[in-house]
Amino acid sequence: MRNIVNLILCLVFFQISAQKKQILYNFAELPQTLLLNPASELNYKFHLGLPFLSGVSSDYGSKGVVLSDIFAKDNRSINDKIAEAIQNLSYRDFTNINTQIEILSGGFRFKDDYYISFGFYQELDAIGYYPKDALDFISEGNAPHINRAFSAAGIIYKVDFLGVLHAGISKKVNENLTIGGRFKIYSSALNLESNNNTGLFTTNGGTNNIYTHYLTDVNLKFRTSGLIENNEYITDPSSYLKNTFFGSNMGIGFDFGATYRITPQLEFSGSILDLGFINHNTNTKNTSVTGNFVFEGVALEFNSDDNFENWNEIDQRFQDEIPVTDDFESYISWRSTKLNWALKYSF
Amino acid sequence: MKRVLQLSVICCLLFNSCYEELNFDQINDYVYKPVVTSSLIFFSVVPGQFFNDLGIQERSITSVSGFRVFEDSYVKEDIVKIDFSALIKNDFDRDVTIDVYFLDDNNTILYQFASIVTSAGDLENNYTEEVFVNTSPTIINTTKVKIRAELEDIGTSLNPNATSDFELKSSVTLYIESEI
Repeated sequence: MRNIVNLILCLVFFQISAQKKQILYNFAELPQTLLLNPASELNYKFHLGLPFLSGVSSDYGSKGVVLSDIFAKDNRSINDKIAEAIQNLSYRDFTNINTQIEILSGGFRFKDDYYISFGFYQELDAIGYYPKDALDFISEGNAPHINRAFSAAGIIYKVDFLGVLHAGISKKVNENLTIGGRFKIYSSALNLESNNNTGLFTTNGGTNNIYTHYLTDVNLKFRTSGLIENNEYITDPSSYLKNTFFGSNMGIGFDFGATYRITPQLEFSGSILDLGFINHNTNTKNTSVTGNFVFEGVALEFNSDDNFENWNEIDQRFQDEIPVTDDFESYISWRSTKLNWALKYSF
Repeated sequence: MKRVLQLSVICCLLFNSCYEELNFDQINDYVYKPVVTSSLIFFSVVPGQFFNDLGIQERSITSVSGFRVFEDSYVKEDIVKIDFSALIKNDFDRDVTIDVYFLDDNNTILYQFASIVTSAGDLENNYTEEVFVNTSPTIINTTKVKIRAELEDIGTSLNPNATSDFELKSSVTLYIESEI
């Protein structure tokens, strides 16, 4: 019996290969927990991280569709699986990836009740909602969806690659309460974002022709920083890495946290992270697309040479009525703020 | 020792996770097949338009127009089938025959419909032509379309002042099959 149990334990442990950073929340034995809650209760006098090694974490998540929905080895057609996955998506489903590499980290206890920590890390943080209507249009077209309004509101994404220099302090207020805060200076190397988009594409039965196509209330905005310089894409990876350390696009932010021991066994803790913003003013490019457009085909004239002009007129009318404009103005992007809380009961 | 083992097993069951075997190569088999439909050309003619400057009735009138459906390289490379649909109303007192030709830049005929005859007084003639690209591959080089409307010869001329009309509405449906 014991051998069987040992075998099971071995098999189980050999399967374990990774963990995500969120698991470190409330993990008082590891100083990285301070990045998840600056008010974590630590019991050591100091810590020092090994550059590039002490803190490497990466996690990928998806809501609404998971990898096995698409890539499971189940002998089903991948066309059917993708169609089914798109069908089941909602406007609230998203995918995200977050990767952090600690370059520097350290901390020390001060006057028994204080713990001061500091460091520098690089972070890739990306979130994108699944644009269900756009996916439907790309995969099925508009023919099966006459009278349906395809909305552009589902185009929401944000990608950040940045360096974060931070310093924080936690204070044990009394035996039951510990509070903490962290100040962060952000240096953005790359930001791509688009949100608050509007616009509908509809194909309806027409009056003058079989169909009339409408682009209604189109207002799309795409902002980039650090990606384009002098109208050319920056392709040198080292320039991105360089800009993570006091580059031109800087910002500030705060983390706050608290840990409260309700009873000797029961403890509540919570934190709010990355409450801050970045001001992007270098290598920015903002693109906006706005307007309304109606298309019902080309009105043909007989015994006339104007028919070739008709297509040009439609092209020109499209460009006039749905203009695409670029500018290089600075803008502010808010960090993706995260909220953690936990209730812990110790036996 | 027994309690330790029990605790270990409970912990393993609680904290163990599992995964399903995945095969990412399946993505190579994915073909997305959008079916995109769009209005195409439309016109309405009255009897007066069949009369020339000398006041003589012509048997037919012709129009040539640009055709930009296949300008996009994505459409051109991945299209497998094209449906042309027309809705024709003939309020004239004689049959009208419509001929449609697809031309390239040199006015070479790449494809043509069988003549569409719409009887006098037929107010709702639905016509659909399916074109499979693998059997008519040159159609995707079309840059112009020529339409000819010919009146049936019944021995008398149209009344140039009549308000009856001949209408044609059309759409194109593109069946695309594309790999990632």
